[in-house]
Amino acid sequence: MRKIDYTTIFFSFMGFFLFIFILIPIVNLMLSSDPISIIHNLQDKEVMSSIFISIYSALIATLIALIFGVPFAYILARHDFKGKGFVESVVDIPVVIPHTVSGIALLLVFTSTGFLGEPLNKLGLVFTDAVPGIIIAMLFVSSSFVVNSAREGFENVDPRMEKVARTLGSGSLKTFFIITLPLVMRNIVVGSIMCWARAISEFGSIIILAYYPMTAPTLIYKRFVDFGLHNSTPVAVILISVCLFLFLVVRLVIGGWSAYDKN
Amino acid sequence: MIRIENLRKDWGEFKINNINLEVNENEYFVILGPSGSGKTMLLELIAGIYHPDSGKIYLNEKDITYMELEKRGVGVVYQDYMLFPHKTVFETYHLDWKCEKHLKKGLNPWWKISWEC
Repeated sequence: MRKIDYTTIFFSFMGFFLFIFILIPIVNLMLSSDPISIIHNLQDKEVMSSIFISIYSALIATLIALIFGVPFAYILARHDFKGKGFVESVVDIPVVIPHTVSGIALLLVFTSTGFLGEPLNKLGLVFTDAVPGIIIAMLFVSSSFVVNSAREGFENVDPRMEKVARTLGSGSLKTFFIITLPLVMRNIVVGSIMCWARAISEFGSIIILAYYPMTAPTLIYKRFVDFGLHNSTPVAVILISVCLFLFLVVRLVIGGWSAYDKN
Repeated sequence: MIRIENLRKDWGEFKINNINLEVNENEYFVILGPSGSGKTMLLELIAGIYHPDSGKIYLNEKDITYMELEKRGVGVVYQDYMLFPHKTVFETYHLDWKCEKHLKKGLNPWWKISWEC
């Protein structure tokens, strides 16, 4: 007779509670809004515009995080230097501080009289109550996901592999792009998805730096405060549906990249 | 021909010191030693994976001590091979920096050369 593994049963039972705890509010939210009000909100320009701004700004923030974060992650993974622990802590700071605090910190720097805001304002780049402000707020709170995920990937690639590629005649930059980067692509994509998701869900720092134009979380909050739960729920359902759809598409796309997942 | 003069590399507790040797053309040269004696380190220094603290390495009378490793023309095969899991043998072969010259000389038709070339 097959022996019952009580540890697995106990652990599954514990995990099931957490799973249900996460799932119930989301399913309940999806079911609690009537289809007519969802259709009505889908035709509302303000709703669709806020969802578009959220997705678009999060995408730009993720791209910026990738451009600067991947080389940064490579340096952190491959080199030891004085103060490395401090640098790594700074990368994680936005994750641990309250997001309203992030918003105030960003506002002080990027306002029209701020340290960076003033010179950039003269160049025509306005951050307060503007899309660049939303992107900056999203970038601030979510970039660490890209850096940490990519760094973990780079750490898993044996540095000797890069050296071997170089002995075969490949330059250091070429080695990075054709040997190392494909091997950590899955980490980078996962980090990007987390970064993008975190950016879309950002609210605290955005309402302080750029309340307008409204992102979807800001609009949901405004409708909740002004008109109550009944009016904010359909917007939340639309946002969740759009995000789930995009996540599924991305997951399907990266599912085909298993060839790069052999390290 | 490989000639090594007074090679020294200090890596914390691990070090190799005062290595002198000469490997002539067509000669089979075997380095024997217990684990941790510095055999791999010596090969890595010759290949350019690490740079020595002092001493000289000559390859065909040319000083390659601090030459970039992709320009040395010295390969190294590790005990665990270090194969690229996402590359075919053909693609690995074409990591060579001479690949473009290879292509220009028409030694391989363009459709057989991987995009990295």
